[in-house]
Amino acid sequence: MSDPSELLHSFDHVDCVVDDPLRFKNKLAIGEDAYMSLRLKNAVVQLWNVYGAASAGWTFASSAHIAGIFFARTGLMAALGLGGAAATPIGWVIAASVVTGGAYYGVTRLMSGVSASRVDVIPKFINTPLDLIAASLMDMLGALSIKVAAIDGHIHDQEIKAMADYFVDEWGFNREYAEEALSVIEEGCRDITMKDLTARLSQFIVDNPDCNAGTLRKEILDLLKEIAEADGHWDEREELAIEHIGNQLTRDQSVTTKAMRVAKVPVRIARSAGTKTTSLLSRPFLRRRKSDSTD
Amino acid sequence: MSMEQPPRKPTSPENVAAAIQEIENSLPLRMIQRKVDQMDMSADAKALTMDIARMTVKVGNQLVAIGRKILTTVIELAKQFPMTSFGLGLGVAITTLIGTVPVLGPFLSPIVGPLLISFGLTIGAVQDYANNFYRASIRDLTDKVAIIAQAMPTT
Repeated sequence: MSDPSELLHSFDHVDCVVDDPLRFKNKLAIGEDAYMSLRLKNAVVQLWNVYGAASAGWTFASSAHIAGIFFARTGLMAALGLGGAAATPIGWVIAASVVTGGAYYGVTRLMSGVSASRVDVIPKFINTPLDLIAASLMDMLGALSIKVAAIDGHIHDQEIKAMADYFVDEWGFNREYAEEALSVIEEGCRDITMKDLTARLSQFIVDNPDCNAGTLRKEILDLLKEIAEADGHWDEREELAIEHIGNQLTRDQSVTTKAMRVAKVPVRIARSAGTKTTSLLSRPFLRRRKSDSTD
Repeated sequence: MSMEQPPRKPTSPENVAAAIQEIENSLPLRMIQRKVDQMDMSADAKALTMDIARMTVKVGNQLVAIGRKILTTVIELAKQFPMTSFGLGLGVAITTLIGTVPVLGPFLSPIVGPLLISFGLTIGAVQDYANNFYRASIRDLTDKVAIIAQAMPTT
């Protein structure tokens, strides 16, 4: 591997990591959940609305009208009008409130999924320094892409171009940064296995409060498929590798994601669980950000 | 630690114009947002910081972007005192302004509580730090804002 100081100097002509911050934040697909205040607000509003729906079900089930229809008293006393008023058993009332509350929750979840497929919500700010999370994602996604591209024994120029175009067009990265970073990553990821890379990437997108793990999983697989097709050949080994990566991402995230989200506290630094190139990729810009403040 | 404070300049139209000109030379909002984007703090704290950056007051027929001046000053001070968190610096600036420029109270007081909470600070910690040399460093900011505040309509 080249001398780290030489690699650092290769970024001297690069001005920034991300040219289009809004596009980058949109790709994270975190929406309002970037803000703890909005997460709390939405949770409170959701609970309140579910409670309201359940209360409506309770009131309706325990009403005299319903009781009279389904639980009317029978017998001689009732026929003589001397029996007590009809009343819905408490179990049925509770069941009715649970059903209405649950139905409300299910319908709103379904509708929010429909909205999400039509409207992107982009937070103005995220919790992690922008350049740091960008460099970390570039490090891990870039390394994984290069590993997949190298499966057939050769990394084609079209594959490198497809990677650079993806990061620039889809994520809003600076093109010069993306191209330099990919050349650094290509050298740096030789000693790490695809399995380790996938595990680290999965850990990163679950740990980081600014990443929507589910959406990013789909993005990662779409990227890898695009890279695999970039050289015009669809290699079965690449297909198997992508399938394995997808399975590993799903397995790593299915159990831990929801628990991590519920208990999440803001991770101050996007500590890359990825390759050692992240520190190289982010160092010039972290240093430059400090000196920028003297401008 | 008490410090001798030089007398403030009386408010003349020339002083007001000079203060406004200096405030207008602050960092543009776009640049402030880029710097805030790179800071290591919560999204809520960043949003509140930009809310402060967007604050303006009306002096005559002119809108003066005092928020940009506050943020520019705190960003520059963060370079001078790298061990001081940006949040603490901003908290000191805001609380000092509230204390020295009462007319800004209605603008800044509502934001102090949420700001300190989002940065994980207490008013006590801010006041303790404000008694040190940091207060002297934001003297220029308070002077300029005080001149502007005196020129604001009282209604």
